Amino acid sequence: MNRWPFLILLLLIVPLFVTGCWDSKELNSLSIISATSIDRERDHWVVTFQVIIPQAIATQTGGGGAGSQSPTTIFSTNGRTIREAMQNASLETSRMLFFAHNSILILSEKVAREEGVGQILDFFLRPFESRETMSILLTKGKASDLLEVLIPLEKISGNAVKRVIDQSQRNLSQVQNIKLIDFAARVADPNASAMVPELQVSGNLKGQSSLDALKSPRNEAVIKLGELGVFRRDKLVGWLNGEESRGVAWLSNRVKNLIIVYPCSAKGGERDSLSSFRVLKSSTKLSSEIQGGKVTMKVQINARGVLDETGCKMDLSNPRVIAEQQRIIAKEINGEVVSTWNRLRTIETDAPGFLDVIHREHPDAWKKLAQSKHPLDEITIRPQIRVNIEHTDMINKPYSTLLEQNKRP
Amino acid sequence: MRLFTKNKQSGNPQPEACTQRSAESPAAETKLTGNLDDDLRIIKERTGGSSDLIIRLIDSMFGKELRIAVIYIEGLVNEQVMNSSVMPSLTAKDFIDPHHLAAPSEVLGMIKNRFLSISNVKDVHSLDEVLSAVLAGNTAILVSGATLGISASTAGGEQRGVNEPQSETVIRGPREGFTENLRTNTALIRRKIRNPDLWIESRKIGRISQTEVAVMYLRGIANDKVVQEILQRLDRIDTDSILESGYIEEFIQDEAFSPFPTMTNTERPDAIAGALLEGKVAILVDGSPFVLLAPVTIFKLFQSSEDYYQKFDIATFLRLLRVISFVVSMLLPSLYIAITTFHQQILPTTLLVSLAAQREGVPFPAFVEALAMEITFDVLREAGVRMPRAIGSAISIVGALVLGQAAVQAGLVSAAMVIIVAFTAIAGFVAPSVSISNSARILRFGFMILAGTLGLFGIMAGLIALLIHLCGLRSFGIPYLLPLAPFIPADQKDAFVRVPWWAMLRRPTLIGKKNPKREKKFQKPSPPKNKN
Repeated sequence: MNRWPFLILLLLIVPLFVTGCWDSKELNSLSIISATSIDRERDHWVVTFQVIIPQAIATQTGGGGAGSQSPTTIFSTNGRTIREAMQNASLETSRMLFFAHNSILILSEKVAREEGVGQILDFFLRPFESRETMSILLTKGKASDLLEVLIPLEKISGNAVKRVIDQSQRNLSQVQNIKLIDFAARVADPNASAMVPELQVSGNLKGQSSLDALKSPRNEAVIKLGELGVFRRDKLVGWLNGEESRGVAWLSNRVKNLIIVYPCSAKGGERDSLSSFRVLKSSTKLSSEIQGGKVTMKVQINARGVLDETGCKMDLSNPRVIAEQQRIIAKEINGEVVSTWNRLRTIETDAPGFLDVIHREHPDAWKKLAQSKHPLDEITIRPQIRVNIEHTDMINKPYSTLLEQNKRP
Repeated sequence: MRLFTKNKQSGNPQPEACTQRSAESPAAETKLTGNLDDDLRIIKERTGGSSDLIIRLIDSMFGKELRIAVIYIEGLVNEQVMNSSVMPSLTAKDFIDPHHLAAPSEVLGMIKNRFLSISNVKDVHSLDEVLSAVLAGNTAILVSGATLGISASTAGGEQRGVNEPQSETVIRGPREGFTENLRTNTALIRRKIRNPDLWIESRKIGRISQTEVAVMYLRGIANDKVVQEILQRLDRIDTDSILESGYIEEFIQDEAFSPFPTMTNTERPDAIAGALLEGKVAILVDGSPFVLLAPVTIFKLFQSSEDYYQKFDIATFLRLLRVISFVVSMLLPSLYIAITTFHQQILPTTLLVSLAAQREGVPFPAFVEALAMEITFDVLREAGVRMPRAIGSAISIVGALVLGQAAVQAGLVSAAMVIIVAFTAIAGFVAPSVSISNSARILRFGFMILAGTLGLFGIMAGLIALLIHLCGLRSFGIPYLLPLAPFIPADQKDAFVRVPWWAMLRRPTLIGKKNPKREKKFQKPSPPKNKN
């Protein structure tokens, strides 16, 4: 009989304890941030936000007006700490900054090299509304410039960049989408080092940051993914170019979809005739061996794929020819792996996590290595690469052989 | 709540101003005097000389010594029966022996046993009985000098025929619906269940209205305790009138202050027949085509009688759809409020941006906006029910165009909100029983307030409270959430899903437990075994 007053009382008390994602805010009082960048100017953090202007994007209400307004707006604030910079943002915005939909965080090279990412990670891991799934990117110039570039086909450029990363990660294994949470984990891991893709603008930045740019079919400037920044602890130590980032992908067993371009013969004889091999499935196994105090990493790569394109003249129905092709491809991969390893040794980062493997398999050897000043110099690698061309797609013989036949009569 | 129960219990002994005293005054006890003039005078006095009371005096050659009075109410009797059966027998030539003045009781006996060609004839002893018989549409026949009379069943008059029910239409299934006449209704049910075990217990409820209420059940299948409980609760009712079965429902339902109905009603005889066969009890009220059904569980309210006529697969799909629609119509506006004002992070970015763009320039908070739109819809709905048919198209134009389209264009309401309200409204109409869609309609506002103040936490807290309430609810002793809580695996065959008829082996466990076996096993159709 007297349950109801009690229940209502309970209903009123319970919410006091369930705080958290709480506090009502109307949709039209929010600034939805799609991308954030962090720069460093003297002793100040410069935080730049890309804020979505909803009316400019969802044009169906109000009817028309598409293209008359920029889909996003950008503003920068600075402060001695990142939080202070954000606090200062409220001096110039009419609305509350809303971070839950921030999809990318761009750090400038200067910040990553000189300041380190420790404080930035601390700041972004702390508040409940920031997403751990935002992608981390580096840029060599001023990070805020990237937020200004308008991307054709896309309204929200922050989301677009995230999609570029996702898409190229699927089609090109050398690119890796690194989320905030993974980045933080890699930075903290003593046996591994974080790698972050670089985002760059190629072309005339000024031209592409005005709405008029979207009116012409050819873009003045484009945003694209470039090299791969490598971290040691929380600081950026170097860049890996395209070939080297592929090598890292091979070493760290991340290859899912990759094109390998290789010459017709191992000697490289015929000029301008190249073939493409598309990796469909690949696995890399790392194992360590200790021989007389010397550490050797065995890198077993097993790649299977398709011959996708060829300009060479050869009989692909002959198994020997295929075997020859496989050898050339293996040599190509071997070259990438070895040159990458040499590069990694010079910048002293253990991106593929070799030390981790040694730690697991030979703890004693690892202890010795860990005390060494340059542990990577004491490791040699021995790649063992097996390539398997599974098929040659819809045609067997190269098309160029057909041309040869036509010449004869 | 206590206030109400007190009234109910103490209502009987207290003299109440509202009830008519004259009907129950000592005069009601009067026996027939035998003096026809006196009797007729009292009857006229008691009815205030109402013009529809017809008293026809038939004289005999014995003058005042032997006169016959025929009393009936015009409009309540079947005129054809009166003219072809009652009157000819009383005016027949050989009816009264001119040579011998028979005793009044003898004359009555002759009328009753030899002449009156009416099948249902009863003796009446008091004026009160005469009056109630006449008011029920019967014809009373009094003979001068006799202290008893005859009541002949001549009830008839203008009545609505059996039509297709308006509130519950089906695509497949019988098209007949109950009418306002109790006897027609009992007959409609009897026609479906031709079994002597279909019992009817009648009560007259309403001190002024004297409404006949019939309780119908299948003896041997219905739970006797439930039947007894219903009869007891009916006997406790002491009111002046019962004009619709809704009166009875509010008097006898288990929980007076629950948004959920613990009894249901239907216009369909086939639905009642199906329920009786499950062991439920029907309560029919004269003058109402809506027949009450008890006990009822919440799943029953999501079931349409058509579920049992269609194939089981589509029936199952439709039941799930109805449950989902119920949840949608109860929660959709509150979820929208909670998500857009508290938990924007759980939406995909593009959806959030699209919603944000629509809310741009809307002057009110989402909660106020939703509340206003929901109330607007309920106003439209109520107007649609009440207004004259001829203006029907006007309201749809005003409702759809002005309030929907124009409000969005004027920037008063966001387009998303109109979609939400419209879908909520349509989902509310999916429920086959109006009573359950009305509970969603009321609860919707409660949840909107919770969502507007506490977000999803508020909705969750509300749902938990609702669940606690539902778990505690009983309908005539049967748990309301049966067969989910308590969980009865055997009864799952007819809750969310409807298994094929050949698998519907037993009746619902708690309701029809007296006679659980429903049909023979192994009746699944299969190709004949080829023995050659």
